[in-house]
Amino acid sequence: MPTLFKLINGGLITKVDPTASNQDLNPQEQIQPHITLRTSDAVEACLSRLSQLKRISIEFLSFTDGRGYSMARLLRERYGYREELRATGDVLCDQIQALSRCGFDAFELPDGTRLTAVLTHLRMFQQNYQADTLQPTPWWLNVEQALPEQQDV
Amino acid sequence: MYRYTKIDQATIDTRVRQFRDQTSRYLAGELSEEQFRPLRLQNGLYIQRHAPMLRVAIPYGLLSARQLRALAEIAQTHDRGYGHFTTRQNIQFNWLQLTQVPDILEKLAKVQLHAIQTSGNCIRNTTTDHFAGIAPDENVNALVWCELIRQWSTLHPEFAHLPRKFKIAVSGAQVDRAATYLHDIGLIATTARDGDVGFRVIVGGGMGRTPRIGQVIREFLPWQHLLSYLEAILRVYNLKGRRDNKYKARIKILLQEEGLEPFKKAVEEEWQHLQDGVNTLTRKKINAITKQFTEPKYCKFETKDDFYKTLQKYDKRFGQWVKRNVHPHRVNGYVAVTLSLKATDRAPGDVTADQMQAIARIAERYSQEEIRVTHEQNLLLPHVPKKHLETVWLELIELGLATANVGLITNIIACPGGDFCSLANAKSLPLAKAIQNKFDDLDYQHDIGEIDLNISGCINSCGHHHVGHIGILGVDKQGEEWYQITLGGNQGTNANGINAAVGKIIGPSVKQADVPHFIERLIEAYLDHREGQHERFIETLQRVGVEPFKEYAYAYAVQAD
Repeated sequence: MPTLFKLINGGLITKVDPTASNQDLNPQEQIQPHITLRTSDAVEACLSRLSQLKRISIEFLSFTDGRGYSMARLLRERYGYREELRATGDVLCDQIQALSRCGFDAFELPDGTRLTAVLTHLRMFQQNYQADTLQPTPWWLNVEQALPEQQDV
Repeated sequence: MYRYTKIDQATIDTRVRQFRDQTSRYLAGELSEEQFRPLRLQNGLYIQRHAPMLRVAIPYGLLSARQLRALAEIAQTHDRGYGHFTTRQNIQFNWLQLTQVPDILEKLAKVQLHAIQTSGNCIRNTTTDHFAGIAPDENVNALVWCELIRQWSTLHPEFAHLPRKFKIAVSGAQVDRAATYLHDIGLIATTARDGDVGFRVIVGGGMGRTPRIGQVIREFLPWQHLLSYLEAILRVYNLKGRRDNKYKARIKILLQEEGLEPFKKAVEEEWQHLQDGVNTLTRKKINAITKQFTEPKYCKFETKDDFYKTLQKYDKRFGQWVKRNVHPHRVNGYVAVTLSLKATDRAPGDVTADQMQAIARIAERYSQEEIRVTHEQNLLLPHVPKKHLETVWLELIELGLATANVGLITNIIACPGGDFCSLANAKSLPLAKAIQNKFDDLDYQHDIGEIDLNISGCINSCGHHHVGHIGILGVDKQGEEWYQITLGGNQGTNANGINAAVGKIIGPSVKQADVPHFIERLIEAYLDHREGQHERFIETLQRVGVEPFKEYAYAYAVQAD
């Protein structure tokens, strides 16, 4: 049974009951409309209902299946989806920073995954080169980053 | 040389910490072999036949003397005293201990080197012309654009798990020395009439099992849009590229299955959404990256600097070396010098730790502390004053690095082959040596003239056999090592206007012991058919066709049977 981790207010992670993904959420949340897309599906499949959806799960068939990352960015950046975007299936702790940068804000990780480990991985890289859903501007808008001269190689 | 900014240094330092954690979790059994595999590959670590192999990135082939010394130190301390330079301008260490790899990466990070994305299904090290920035035929200095692509592609959150590996090459000169038509994306930088830079965008080239020459999907992409356009191509590939069969997963297969026009349309549609977005480049950014490159300090020499031409006449060996291994430079009074790593006593591309230290010293004295790695697995001193040419030559002779064979038949590109690599069907290194021995008479080599002979131990074609004028591919025949011979490959447009091409198999494969003589017969066919002293092998082949070559070579093979 996977453990669910959620990003709340852009930073905090809360560990939710392992069974949460199906059963023990408050009743209101459970009846909220949601959909699961597999990484082999096209995001366009859910566009007609997008404004009603409160949760989209993208199920990774394998953690090396990178389609889910592009799907997430499309949902967030092109189609303006603002509600929960959950990574499910074969997801590794090591990937959650990249997943969050692509717009995921909930992660079902293998049972036993510790909150501290998730936090470490989530904030592994302090600065990133690329613009993404968390950092709307790429690195070159802050270009005055040169190291002092003695750092020449 | 490019100097790191804070974000560059922070990124690689963090990557070292991350990899240290991943390695210890693997060793503690918290990560399975299957989980660790893609993670270590994204950091250049393979498990090979004998030991783990670490591939260190040398971004666009640029190395400082200090970095080369650090590589020498690693070769000495952690490996067996040597390293192997690859066709993708990287270096590999073949005899490491997994437990030491995090420490090695930490040492590399101290000199602004890393192994990020040198393997795995991600965007690999961007390669370029080894004469970038110094070539007289250059339109645009590709180094700045390569560095930009390095930054954009490093740990890109969306493109770390592509269907398959992804290689980008950039050329900014008239002659394509970066094999841009044989990469997933090739970029040829040119300038428009108003002087503004733009790129010809070529997609879907590659070697391996299904060799393809890339196709142009944009004739002139203004520089401001480079990253958004790359992002559009990568996104289309990431979503649509095949993941059901790793042999059909490269972008070249997607392009082939979709067709050029539909593929182009998909990219353009994607780009419509990204165009003029956050990835649009500004002059300020390009200037900032340009500023991070140290500008070589060229002197104006008072004395007549080409007295070496006189020496060339009197010392034949020096003359041959100048002719083959010394190259023109855009600045008066300077030349570039190739250090041939293709002497017969070592595997192509191998350099010992002692040699690395010595090369670093020579670079400090005579080449502004800079060294480059060429995709032909040689090293280059890019800024040598002509007046020091003889001294440099004498020092290189001492080191065994002055073999005057650049561009000639013994300048063989070869993969590590069956001696090291677990994928190989056949050995490549002993064969390279046998061919080099067959043609060890330098006068004869010079008479044969320019020819590319490339050897791969298997169809993954790390030895670029597809684009050798003569290509040799190791195949397995019931447990025996045989070799398939191709003719007519070409790595890029050259001065004579011959375009990039994939070689064609000319007939049945040949036993290992027969290959050197078979090659000799191909050369005899060429010498008998060439028109005048200056027609090169590839030109004769194109003029007379493959038949005379087959006749010469297989006539012998039949006799031998």
